[in-house]
Amino acid sequence: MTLFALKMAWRETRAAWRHFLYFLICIAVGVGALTGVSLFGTQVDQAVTKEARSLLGGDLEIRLTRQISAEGRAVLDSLHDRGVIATHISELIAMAANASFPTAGRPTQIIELKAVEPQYPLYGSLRLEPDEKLGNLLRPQARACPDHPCFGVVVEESLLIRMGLTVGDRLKIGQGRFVITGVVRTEPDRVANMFSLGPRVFISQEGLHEAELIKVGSRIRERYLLKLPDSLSAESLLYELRGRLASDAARVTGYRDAQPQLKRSVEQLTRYLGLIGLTALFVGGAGVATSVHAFVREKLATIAILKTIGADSPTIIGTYVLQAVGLGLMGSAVGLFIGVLLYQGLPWVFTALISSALLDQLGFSESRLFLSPAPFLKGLTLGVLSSLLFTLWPLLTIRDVKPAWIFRRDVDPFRPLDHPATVRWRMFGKTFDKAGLLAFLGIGIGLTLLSMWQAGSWKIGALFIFSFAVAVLLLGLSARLALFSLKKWSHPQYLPLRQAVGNIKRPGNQVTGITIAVGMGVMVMTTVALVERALLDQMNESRPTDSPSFFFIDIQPDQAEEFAALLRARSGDRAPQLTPLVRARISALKGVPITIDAMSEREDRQEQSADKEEARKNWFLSREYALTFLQDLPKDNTIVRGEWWKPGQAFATPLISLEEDAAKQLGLEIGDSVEFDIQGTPVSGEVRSIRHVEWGNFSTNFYMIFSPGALDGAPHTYVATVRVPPSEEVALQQAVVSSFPNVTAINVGDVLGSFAQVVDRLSLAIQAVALFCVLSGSLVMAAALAATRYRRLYESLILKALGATRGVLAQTFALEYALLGALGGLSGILLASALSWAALSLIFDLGWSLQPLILVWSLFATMALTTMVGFLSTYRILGQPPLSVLRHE
Amino acid sequence: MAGLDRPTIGSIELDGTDITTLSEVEMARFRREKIGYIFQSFHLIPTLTAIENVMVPLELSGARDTDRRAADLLTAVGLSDRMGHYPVQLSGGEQQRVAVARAFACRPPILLADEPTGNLDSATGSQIIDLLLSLHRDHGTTLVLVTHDHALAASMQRVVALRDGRVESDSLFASALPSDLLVSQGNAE
Repeated sequence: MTLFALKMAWRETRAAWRHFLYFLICIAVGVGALTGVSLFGTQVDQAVTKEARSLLGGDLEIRLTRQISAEGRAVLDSLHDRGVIATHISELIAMAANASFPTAGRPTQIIELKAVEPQYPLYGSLRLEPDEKLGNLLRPQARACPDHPCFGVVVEESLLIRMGLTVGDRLKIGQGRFVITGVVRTEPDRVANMFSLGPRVFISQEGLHEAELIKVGSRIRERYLLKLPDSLSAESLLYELRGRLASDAARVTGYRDAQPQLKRSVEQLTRYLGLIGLTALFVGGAGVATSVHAFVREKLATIAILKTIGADSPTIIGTYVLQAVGLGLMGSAVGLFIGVLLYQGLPWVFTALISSALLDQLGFSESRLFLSPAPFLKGLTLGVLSSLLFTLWPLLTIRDVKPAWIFRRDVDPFRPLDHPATVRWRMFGKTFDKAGLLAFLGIGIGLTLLSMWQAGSWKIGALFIFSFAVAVLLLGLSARLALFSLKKWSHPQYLPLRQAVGNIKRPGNQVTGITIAVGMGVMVMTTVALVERALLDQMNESRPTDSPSFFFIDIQPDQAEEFAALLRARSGDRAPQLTPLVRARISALKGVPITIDAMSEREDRQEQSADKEEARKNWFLSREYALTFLQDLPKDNTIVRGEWWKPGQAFATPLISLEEDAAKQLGLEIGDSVEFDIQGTPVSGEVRSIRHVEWGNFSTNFYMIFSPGALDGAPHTYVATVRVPPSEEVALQQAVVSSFPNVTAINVGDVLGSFAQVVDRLSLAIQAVALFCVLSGSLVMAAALAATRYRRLYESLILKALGATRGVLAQTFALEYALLGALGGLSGILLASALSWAALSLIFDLGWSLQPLILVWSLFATMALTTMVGFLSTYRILGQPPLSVLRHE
Repeated sequence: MAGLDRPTIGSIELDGTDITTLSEVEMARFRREKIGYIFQSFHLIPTLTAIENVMVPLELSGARDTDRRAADLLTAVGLSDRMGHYPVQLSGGEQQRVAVARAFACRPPILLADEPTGNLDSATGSQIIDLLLSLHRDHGTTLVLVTHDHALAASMQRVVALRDGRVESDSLFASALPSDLLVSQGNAE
């Protein structure tokens, strides 16, 4: 029987492949979206694993937030004897000034400075222009600076563009003078980050020393990269160093954990993009079901003949199931090509999210020839299984076709209830068709399993399929409601409108299917647009009118007074606020010590932890805190438990005011003790109050605030905020860099700008994949219209025979398709509003507001799309002469 | 009695089997093994070639060498040069000959022919009747033929006349028939 089914499936496909064009395209589009996303995710993952050593910069990395102690230095020196090669890298944010200008009015730019030693990089390669060794380019440049000594500096091209410089021009960084000797194109170990405060600038360690940027309490990241001999195990040395460098609060990581942030971000992004791709596939599934349903209707005679000559229903269903699987395979194969095209486009979208240099490093620029087979296999499997699941239901109707139908074609061939093959179950007082019920359950379970597989998590997969089902249900209900209302509507006078409405509400209409398919695409696209708009609005609206223009960091205590004077003079603010800042880590909670070993492990766990709560707890335990000590409660802070210290209060022990989330995650209550390690010195305090902080108020906010005097003597710097009119921003920044070269000026507007760019690109990436849902929805509509093509043709020709012009018919079609679009669009935007509300309030903790412009735009775009799709599917009908069909009657 | 539909009351016994009690799958097997059908409108599967149409019942019954056997059958009905043609490429007579070859492919003991010449001109109709009678004669197949053609009915061995769904006469001699109603059956056993 299987052989017969195979042969028949081939014969039927050979003869009727045109009928399955929509089937093929629907599957191809869905599989394309899934494969494209999956290929990108896999490529990043594999490249990160393959390039792990270059991405970390070594076999092991030691990271500190302050300069290493003499003991720590000795530990590193001792490694030399064991054949370990080490190189030292310092990374910090700084300001660069164009030294070609006179001191006053020099253009300035915030930069990400990286000071390296000649051995750098130990693994991977830097791409530089000119193609010389980095060490040579960073050496002192006696010829370029005859008047005073200067070092070479290699910069990212964006610095040259922003400051209008070229190679050979001079820069002042801190107190040091530099000449630009080259441009860096790719850098192996740059940490993937969505946000970058400024362009990368390479200098030598000697150059950094010359710049005099590193002061006590300066914000710096010290990295030591180690290259191990083959004889030494990275794993054992990692644990050894964690122990030996504990007093330096050093983080030691292995190359296997390189770029955890990148891995996690890409994994999450591809997971959610994949689910949008799956939505496209499932929406396309409706097109598949429509095509198969129409096909079965056309094949009634063949099915009846086959039954007459001895084929039973299971054999015939088996034949068409095999055909569906074959077609699913073909559609999926086409989808794989679409996937490769999408995959080629996705990295471009991602360049704003992770540095483009990193994408180059991962092999996305030139040599993307190697494609992993796993995403292809997954795409094929998902495509074939979806085809199978979505065709099963319409194919079940084959059971109801009676062989005697070939004698009596005027009766409805599908009358399932009197069929002897239908075994019925009685449940809840109702009769159910056993095979139908089993198939329904099977399809439901199948789609759930596919979702879980794609999501890579049973929880997210189940949530996805549940949400999908709810959306389908709501869209279906709204279609029914609209149909009900249309039926109540008295016949319009205008003939094309009357015909259009009649077409929509006639028996056997496809309105529900079209509304679900079109509405789903509209819902996804509009939700993304609504969330993006809300995020950007939040950013602009929540910025108070008195929010600062600049954050200044790394102001040294001996510069504080002079700095405040400068701000007073430049901004007109009589009492500019400078807030002291001390960097520290928690060393004990309620008297229980937290060792650095435990912290490193916690950090590892945090990176691997799937549990958000657990990860957040670990983050609070292991992060570096910026502490401050203040007399008054900062603005937008409210005490929720305990009390703030009184003016002039004397403190027997240091008191701490704790932010409420930190208190919750650390499990701290009023009266508990917390001990901090401040650059090697333990300082402990008692929790006196717990505060609620408005984090979005654009002020300097703190998790931990100590009572005045508690941190006296601790190495600290100041941060300052100031508001100046936009026209004064450049002048103020130049004045600060000129007088205080070690102070970094962070322009709030620029940071918000780059955040907006990230949101914009992220939204673009999601919408690129969501576009596949819209495409699937359009295909489903086209498939549904194609299924009713003959009926449409027949009616049009009768109307033509009665005197209707082509114009009247075109108007009828346009109105019908626009009405269908309005229905799908309206349902879609309503659901999108609900979904965006849920996303904003549950995920982003933001308020929702009506965005009429986006909603109206979405509605009209949908109507335009459905009108276009409808016309493309049926325009040929308009030109048919009446006799061509009526003659056959 | 064709086993294509079910009676609302009563039972039908065919070749010793009460076909009203059979399940759908058993019924399909019964049709496959016992009955060959020939229709007025031929009812060939339009997407299959002539030879494929004949191969279908053989394949359904799990027979081997189906293409050779189908080719032999088509040769026997005089269509050796039309095997690869689709139904739309064949004349009415040729289509009906393919239908006869298909009906006889599994050598069923009963052949049911519903107005087999109704859509054919008289010369082609005669050829088809000759073909059916030769199958009956050469293979001992029971031929049940439904027709409005008096002359054709008169050439049969047993004739049952129906009017408004009721049997009006059942005779071994065609001459006893009412002139306007006829159901003919060849080969009274």
